[in-house]
Amino acid sequence: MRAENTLLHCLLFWLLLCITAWVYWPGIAGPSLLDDSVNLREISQLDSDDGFIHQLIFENRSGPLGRPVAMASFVLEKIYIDRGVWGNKVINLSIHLLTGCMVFWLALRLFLVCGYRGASLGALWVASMWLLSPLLISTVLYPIQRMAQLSTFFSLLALLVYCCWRENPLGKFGKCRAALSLFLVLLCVLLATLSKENGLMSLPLIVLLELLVFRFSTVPQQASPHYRKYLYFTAFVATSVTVVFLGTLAVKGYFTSGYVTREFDLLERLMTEARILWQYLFQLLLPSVLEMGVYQDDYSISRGLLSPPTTLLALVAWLTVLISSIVFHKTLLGRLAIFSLLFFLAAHSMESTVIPLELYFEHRNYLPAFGIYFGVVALGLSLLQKYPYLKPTIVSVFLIWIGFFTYASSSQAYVWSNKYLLHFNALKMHPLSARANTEASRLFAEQGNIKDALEFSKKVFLIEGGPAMRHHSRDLLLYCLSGSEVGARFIEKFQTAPRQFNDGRLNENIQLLVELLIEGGCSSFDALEIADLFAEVFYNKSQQKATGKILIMMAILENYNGRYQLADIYAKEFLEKYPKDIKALLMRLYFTSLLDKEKDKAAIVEELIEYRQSGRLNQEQQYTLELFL
Amino acid sequence: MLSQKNLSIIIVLLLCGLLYGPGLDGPFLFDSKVALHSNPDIQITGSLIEEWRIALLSSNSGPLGRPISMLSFAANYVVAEGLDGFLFKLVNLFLHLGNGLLLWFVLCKLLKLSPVQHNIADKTTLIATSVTALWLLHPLHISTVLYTVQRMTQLAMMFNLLGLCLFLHYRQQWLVVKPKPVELCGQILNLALLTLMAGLCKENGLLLPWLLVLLEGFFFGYLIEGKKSRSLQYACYTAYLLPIVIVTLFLVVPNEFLNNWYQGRDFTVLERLSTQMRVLWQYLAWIVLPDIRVMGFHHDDITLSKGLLKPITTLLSLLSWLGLIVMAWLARKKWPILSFSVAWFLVAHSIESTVVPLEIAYEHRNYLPSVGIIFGLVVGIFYVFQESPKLVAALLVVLGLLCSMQLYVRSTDWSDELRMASVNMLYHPQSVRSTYHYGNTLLRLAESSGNEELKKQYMLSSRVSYKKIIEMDADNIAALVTLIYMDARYFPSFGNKPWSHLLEDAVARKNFAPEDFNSLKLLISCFSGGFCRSEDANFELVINTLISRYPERADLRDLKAQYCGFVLEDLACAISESRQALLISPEYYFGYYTMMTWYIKKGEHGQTLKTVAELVGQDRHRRESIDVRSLFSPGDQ
Repeated sequence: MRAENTLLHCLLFWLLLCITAWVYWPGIAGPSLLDDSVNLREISQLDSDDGFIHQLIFENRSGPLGRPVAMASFVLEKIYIDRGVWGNKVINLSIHLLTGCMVFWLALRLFLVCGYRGASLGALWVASMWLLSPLLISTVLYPIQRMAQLSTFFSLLALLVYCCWRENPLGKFGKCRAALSLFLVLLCVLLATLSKENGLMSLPLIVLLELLVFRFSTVPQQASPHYRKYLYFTAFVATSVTVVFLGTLAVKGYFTSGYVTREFDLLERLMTEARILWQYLFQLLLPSVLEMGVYQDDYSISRGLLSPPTTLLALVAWLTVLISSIVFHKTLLGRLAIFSLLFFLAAHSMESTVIPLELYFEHRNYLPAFGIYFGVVALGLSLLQKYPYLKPTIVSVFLIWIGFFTYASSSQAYVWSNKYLLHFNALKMHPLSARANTEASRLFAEQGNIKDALEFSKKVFLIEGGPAMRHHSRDLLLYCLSGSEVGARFIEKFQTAPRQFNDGRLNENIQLLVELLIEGGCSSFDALEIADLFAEVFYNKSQQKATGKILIMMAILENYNGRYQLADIYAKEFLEKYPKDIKALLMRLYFTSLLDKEKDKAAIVEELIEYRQSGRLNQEQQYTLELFL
Repeated sequence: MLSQKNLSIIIVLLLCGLLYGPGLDGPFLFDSKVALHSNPDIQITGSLIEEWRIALLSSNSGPLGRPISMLSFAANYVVAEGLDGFLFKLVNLFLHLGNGLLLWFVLCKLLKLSPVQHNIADKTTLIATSVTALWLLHPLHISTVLYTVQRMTQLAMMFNLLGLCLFLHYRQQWLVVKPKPVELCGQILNLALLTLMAGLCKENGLLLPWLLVLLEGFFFGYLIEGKKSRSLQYACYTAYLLPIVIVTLFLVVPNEFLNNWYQGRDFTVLERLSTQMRVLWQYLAWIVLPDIRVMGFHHDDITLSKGLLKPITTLLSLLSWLGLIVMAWLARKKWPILSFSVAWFLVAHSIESTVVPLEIAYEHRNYLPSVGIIFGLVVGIFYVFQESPKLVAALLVVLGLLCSMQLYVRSTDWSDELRMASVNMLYHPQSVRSTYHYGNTLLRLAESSGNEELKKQYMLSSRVSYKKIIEMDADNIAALVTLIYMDARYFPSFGNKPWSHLLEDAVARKNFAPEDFNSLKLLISCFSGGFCRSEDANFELVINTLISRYPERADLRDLKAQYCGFVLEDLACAISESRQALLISPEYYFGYYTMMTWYIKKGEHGQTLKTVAELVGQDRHRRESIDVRSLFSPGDQ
């Protein structure tokens, strides 16, 4: 099947890619955010050591599969481009444009399969809406979300290859072509899954495609008598693989264990997600950029069906939509409407259902958005087909719509170009977001305004509660950033606060503080005094043991202070908790060498040699060990 | 090959382009300075899409913000690589010619419809061309085409004409074939979009639906598929009666909004309405009998009607309009075009010349309404003299020549600011604004002149003009401030300067106008530049008087902050006044930048950042994004 005016629409598509790049370009200069530092810090220190590269690619802990494809892209970028956050974002933008090509192509194939006239115009609309949707800005300009981008890219490619194969199942090369196509589909699904786990959802999406678009139809002159059976089998296998994978994760407790550290339980998450999915849908179709951003941690949790009442409304609305779409499944438009909605829901099913992730993130819409925009444009094309004289009206409406998307995206991308604009805008619409307030406190501290920084910090405490130690550590960090002296009263408060060290944010704050001290970022702090304070609070007078992270940071700080005896004590304490931690062992090896503790040194060396022989040491660690042998 | 009818319209367009030529070199005037010169948001490089977005939002005129017009100005700036008056006016001229062409299409289509067929059916193209020619060449439209900011009016009219074209195209088909409901909805949606586009150029573009209803009534007779549709007829009547009823109720029922709306004006709603009765006749006279000696850029010399008998012409005007409307209604079947022409004129004036508290009179308000009158006039000539085609031709040629010559003379007058200002003052000696414009032009020329003799001559003439203004209006704040500035800077040896006392009295009495605000800024720069001294003017007294009269005005507080900061160099006072300004109006964005200036001067970066956060917090449409970002160095991004 061929589309009309394809050349013109391809030229327009090229123009669209240029406009998208133009819209996003200011945002390229923006800052890194949240998870970026955790995931990309080690890569930023990378040199061309092969062993270390292997470790970076395959030992990421963001998901159960480690996301090696995405990590490999960061590593390759570091080796060949190495332009920091700017480079990360340029690559993300390039992936966005490439994925936009996939969106155009897939939409074109699907509209042609459905027999629409003006398929290429429709594909252009879908691609325009998807490329310029302001909701997707926070995927492209948030470096670490390359994971979601790559996963979407390969998922769409899998769908596209499947489509191409289904349109011409045997073609010139007969069964070889079929086998190759299926192999490519599986490869794409694998790459998508290894980019981010929700790439696996491309399998159910293929099933949806088959059920609602191709409908197990065969081309009579080409198909073998068993062809339809193969299709059923493929759909069955795809569904089974997904179920087995999710089942395995469930058995391993991956879905339930995480709720311990969350403010919500499984049921509350599911109820809240019903509302959030509507919110996503509205933001995809009628975006309100003021409400967008990465700081959505102020989203109210549904504690019951009527708390808030919109929970019940959202659930009923979803059921109504699904039931009514089933009613209309006999018409082409009805089927496409079901496809569109189920695509959206299926693509959201991993991140917006049972897994105890945070509730709301815009980047989760990167793949689901395709379903919605495809459905909307299918409606437009159906109207156009039925009432050709409405063409100017429909084209005008779409142009205005896309113009509005461009307007909104431009504003959003520009806000993402500067950390002050980004955080202050977030604070404007999310004044109750603990994260936005935390970021604001840091910005004020960096400018030397400790008074307002502490005000924001106090607000964070009021919003999120939690152990006092966490908030004191944040205040200490703010004093450091602002270059202000810490008063005796604050020190007393810090010393007397209830000991509750097993808190992620507290550990994060201590780590940041130590890093700043070492890098000379705390002009008003004496590293020795801070080390003594930490010793008193976290070690000497504490009933409760400090966490491993705090201990290792204390060791690093004492190493900086030149107090190797203390550093060794903390490292040793850490090793009591995590005896097989190689980094800590190497650290202790260094301390024991400096302190001439030959006996301890020999024991550590022996242990490390044993690890080396069992292949647990990467190349860099092996080099370090060699220095002491 | 070009047909004769096409050739004639092309000749008219070329002639119009030629006659406007001299005026293209003229200066930016009045509101154009506010919308273009003093608006950094349209002075963009064009390299960032965000610049274009902010340019869209950069107008503070009108409730809809006129984004399409602002976008066109920004595009003009990018292409011209600066505020090149010639290129801005050239675009306006092309829009004028484009509007002329569209008008010609509309008229050609319109004249083929029933109400005129039986009389002058064979001359439709000639009539259309004549109407278009007279409209294009009318000297009244100089102050739309060469007054750059009135591109807003031109663009609104362009979308209106496109709407009329679309309506005529489909409506003609529906005379014989009933439209399908979906088709009808589609066309209604198209027209709604065009109305919206017109409104987004200038609010009077929103009149399109009412203009369409006029066409429906006068040219289509509510006929669909050959039958008269009663429901359509009632819908059209409702479309007219409903706004009239709403506006009447709005005027009759006492309401706070109306009082607030007219605050800052020297007239009440009743005074405006009664004055407009006379002004509309005046407009009509300018259109029918073009005479550039009565035209001008400012018409603030028109006397306000303070009652039906003050002046007596108010009552006469009211009665004559009522008479004309009744006659038009009665004659709607016999002479539909004449009735249509009156109705068009009034409908097209209904936003700017009724209750909205705009200034009393401007020529550009006739850009669209004049079409109706010229159409009526030309059809009238053809109808009355249908037996003598030569007489018709002669009359049209005379009218055309009269318009062309006056257009050329006026266009030449508008090519030079001093010449234009002198002509305006010559024809409107009682106009304070014209005198001010003249004085201000001389002052600017004097300040930029290198020739000492000429400079002195300009300066003295300028001072005479400002003194003349004070004779006409002793409370003219802008003139008093300029006199203080001139005497302090250029004529320090002159004795007996009563301006300071007069200014103190004026600010206590007179409504404070936007131009007065700018003049006070001039006074601050006079102080901070060291030209003015405390004995020249008591600025503190002046600003405090104004603040006590207008406690809700943040800009006055901001002005006081500037005085404290720049003149007195008292940062505590400046910060306190700036804080007050922001408390009064948190959406007064300029105030945040003033506040930042003080904190930067004090070296308090933390407080500066807090002010930035407050600004971002208030900036609902992210109009300040680029300016905010520019406050940080690239390393901070």
